[in-house]
Amino acid sequence: MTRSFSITTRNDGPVRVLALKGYLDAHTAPQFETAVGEELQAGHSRLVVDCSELDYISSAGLGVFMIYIDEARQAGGDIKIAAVRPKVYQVFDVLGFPALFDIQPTVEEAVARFGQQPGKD
Amino acid sequence: MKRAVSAAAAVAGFLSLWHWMPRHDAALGDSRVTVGRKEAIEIATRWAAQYGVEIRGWRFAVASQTDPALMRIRLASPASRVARVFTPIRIRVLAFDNRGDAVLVTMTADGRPLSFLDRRRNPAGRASADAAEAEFARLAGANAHEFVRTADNVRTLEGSRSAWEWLDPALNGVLARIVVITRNGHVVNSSVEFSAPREAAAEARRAGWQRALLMALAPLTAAGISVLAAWSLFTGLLRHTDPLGFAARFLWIPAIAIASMFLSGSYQNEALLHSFDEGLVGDTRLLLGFTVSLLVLLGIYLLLAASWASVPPSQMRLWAPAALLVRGCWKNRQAAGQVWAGMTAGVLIGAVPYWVAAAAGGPRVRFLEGAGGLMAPLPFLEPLEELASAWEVYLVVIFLAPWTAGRIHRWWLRWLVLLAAGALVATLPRSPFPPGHLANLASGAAMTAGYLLVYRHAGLLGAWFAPLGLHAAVQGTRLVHLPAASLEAAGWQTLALFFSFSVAALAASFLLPAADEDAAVSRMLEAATAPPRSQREKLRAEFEVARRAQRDLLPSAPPSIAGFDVAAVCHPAQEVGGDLYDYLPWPHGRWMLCVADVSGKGLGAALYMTMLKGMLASSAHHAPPLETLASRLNQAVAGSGRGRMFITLSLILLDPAARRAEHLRAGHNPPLLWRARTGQCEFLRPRGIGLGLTSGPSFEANLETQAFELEPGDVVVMYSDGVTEDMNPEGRLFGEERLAAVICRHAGADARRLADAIMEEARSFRETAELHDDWTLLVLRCRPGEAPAGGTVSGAALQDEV
Repeated sequence: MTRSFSITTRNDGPVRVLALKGYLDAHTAPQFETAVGEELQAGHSRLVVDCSELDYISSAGLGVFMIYIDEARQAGGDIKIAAVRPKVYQVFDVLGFPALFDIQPTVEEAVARFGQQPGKD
Repeated sequence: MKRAVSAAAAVAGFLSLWHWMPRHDAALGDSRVTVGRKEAIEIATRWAAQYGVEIRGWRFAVASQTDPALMRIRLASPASRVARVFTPIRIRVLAFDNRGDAVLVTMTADGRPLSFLDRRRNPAGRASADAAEAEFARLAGANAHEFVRTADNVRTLEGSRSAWEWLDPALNGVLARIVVITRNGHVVNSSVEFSAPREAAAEARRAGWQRALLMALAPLTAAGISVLAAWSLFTGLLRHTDPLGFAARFLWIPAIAIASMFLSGSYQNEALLHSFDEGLVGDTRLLLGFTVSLLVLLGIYLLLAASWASVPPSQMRLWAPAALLVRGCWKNRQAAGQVWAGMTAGVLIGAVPYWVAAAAGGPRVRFLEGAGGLMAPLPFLEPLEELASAWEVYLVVIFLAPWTAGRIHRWWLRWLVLLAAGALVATLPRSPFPPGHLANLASGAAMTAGYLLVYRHAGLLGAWFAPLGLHAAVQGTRLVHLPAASLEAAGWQTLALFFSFSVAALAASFLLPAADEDAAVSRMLEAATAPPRSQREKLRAEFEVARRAQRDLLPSAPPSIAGFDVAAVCHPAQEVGGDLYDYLPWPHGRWMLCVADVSGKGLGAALYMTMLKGMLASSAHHAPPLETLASRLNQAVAGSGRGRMFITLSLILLDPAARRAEHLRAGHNPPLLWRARTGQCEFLRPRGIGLGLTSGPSFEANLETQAFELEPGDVVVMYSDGVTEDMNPEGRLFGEERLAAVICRHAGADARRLADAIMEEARSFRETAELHDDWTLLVLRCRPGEAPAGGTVSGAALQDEV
């Protein structure tokens, strides 16, 4: 059973926005991992992950955020999570992500947070 | 755009065929067939009646064959009159009834008599004294004066034998002989035969050593490619099993082609006539034909498997639509587009020999003459055979093109090798020109180039269907040009079949949704880069050991806790899982219940799970407060996981005597507590972050322990996210609400039965979908109506709580 997952990347000022769509699970997490890794390698440490079209996230998908959060913050940036649907938010919440990540209701607000608090959240 | 180019190719191909074919095609030229199946049966019936045999209503088998002696004579001396008078193509009509009587009539391609064989058990009919002479006059026709009588009613076992011979003055040793055998005034056997001694055909062999070399090179090349394919298949099999799987699934396409041959009746035709030649009446040879077909399929199967194993990543996209199609993905516009492109391009490729003939000064083209099919009951099905017999395409384009792509890096050298191989191999199954003629090489190379272009732009299916388009266009156009009414009709039927098939493919390429090619390509890549089979088997064996070890780590039976009953279930989604549950005896009569989930699945997760189990067990002696224990676990996981791995954990420390419990939740799914008193469910959600996600201080700052009391009948259900995120085929999740509902419905039952009820509910929700994450459940139930076993509250437990 393979379900579709896609990532589209765009710029919002100095911030890179990665929009996730579909199912982020053990099968598709490597794709997300590569995408975030490439952004950080290219020097983009201010990332907003737009989850408005993310239908499902599994623990493997959550793991990707953990892999890169320290690297992004050390580089003076952050990975912020935006526009999470209630079902997906529940998963973030259960794991305790709200205490570790800056989760914002919209992409605009997440991007704006970079202006307020440059670097570490 | 691409589709329009294909359509243009088909139009250009048909125009070329229409224009050049009548000028250069052998079947339309000197060996013009003017008699089709229907006409041949009518003629045979009429003649038989003249011999006094009524065969109307009998079963018929009709086939055409080429007389090799006459062909040789024609090649050697086009001026020979014998060769001019009789056509090399002869049509045989076998009639038989169910009593075992049979009559065989042979005629020239234009319907003149060549032989009559009466194999009835009791020949009866009009007898006449000069039956032999009358038969001679019939067979010799206008050329009777050329013949000299050489035998006059010589008595033989069969009957009285008479013979006449016509020695060709132009060629020494070439003769036509008419033999008539009569019995009791009836003709029982008559025939026109030709003989051409080797010397007479010497001219044809004067071609020289170059042509001999070419004729030897062709089978050598084909054999070489086959050996290469076999080698590539064996080495491919050592690497992975996929190629055989793909080939087996693809095989239904050639299998349909072969089935259509039986449906068209051409196999039966041949089989009946062969059986008759061997003195039998019936379809005994059909079995042989069937066996040969199976062998052909086996050959295609092996070659396809070898090709699949050789496809380099750069060409996987060309194979993806076929891979999807054979996996049952019918809604696949790419596959339809490939078929359309292949069918249409095939028409243009079919015109190639006629262009070459025009350029080379007009040698006759003997291309796809396969006259056997002409006489089948349904000749328009014949082109379908090309889905299982285009060996030059299979060997050179479908196998060699992918194989060389990864090995010969200069593109021009690769093309050179492919074209040379194609030119040689193409001369084998159907050389359009006389054997050894250099025009064969030219047309072979040009056609191979055509097939290679089709493969590059329309992939595997394009190349596979191009010969079908080619055959349908060439045979259809030829039949339409032939004067026999039944053949002309068959021609139009063939063209109509081509047209409807390709238009259907074109329509499908617009109407069907696009299939997920990327997924197919990534599956192919995965298979191509998979570890070698031997290594994989070793890995699988190791996984089995790991799986067993892991299963042994889980408690074999629930503990007996006074006043409570406990049940647990764990289903790993893969060979080894990342979920864990455990019950550990804790000091002062308490029990530690634990459910944990390591992020990810597979071996890595299982190793972390083992580590966690060990750490929990070793903590039992010191019995630290829950928060201290969780902190230690967090440090260990964060230290070794380096951010790549995290564990969610739910711990419940139960003091059964006091019916009190403490709960700590490190990022894990909140356990459900069902209260017998209210009949309601509540989630236990103290704050807490998953283990390994963050360093000590922020982990501890976000951690809390929740204490609660249990009353008789109360139920606590701990579970992993595999339970709530169980997915059905539509992608919907089982969810917390559904879990709470099933618990509320069955909470009156004991722990085991409640666990079974939840499992059953999940299974019926999941339907056909597979388990996609480990599924773990632990049920704790306070038995109703039982007094606490100890009666007093343990001091140590109180202290821990504080």
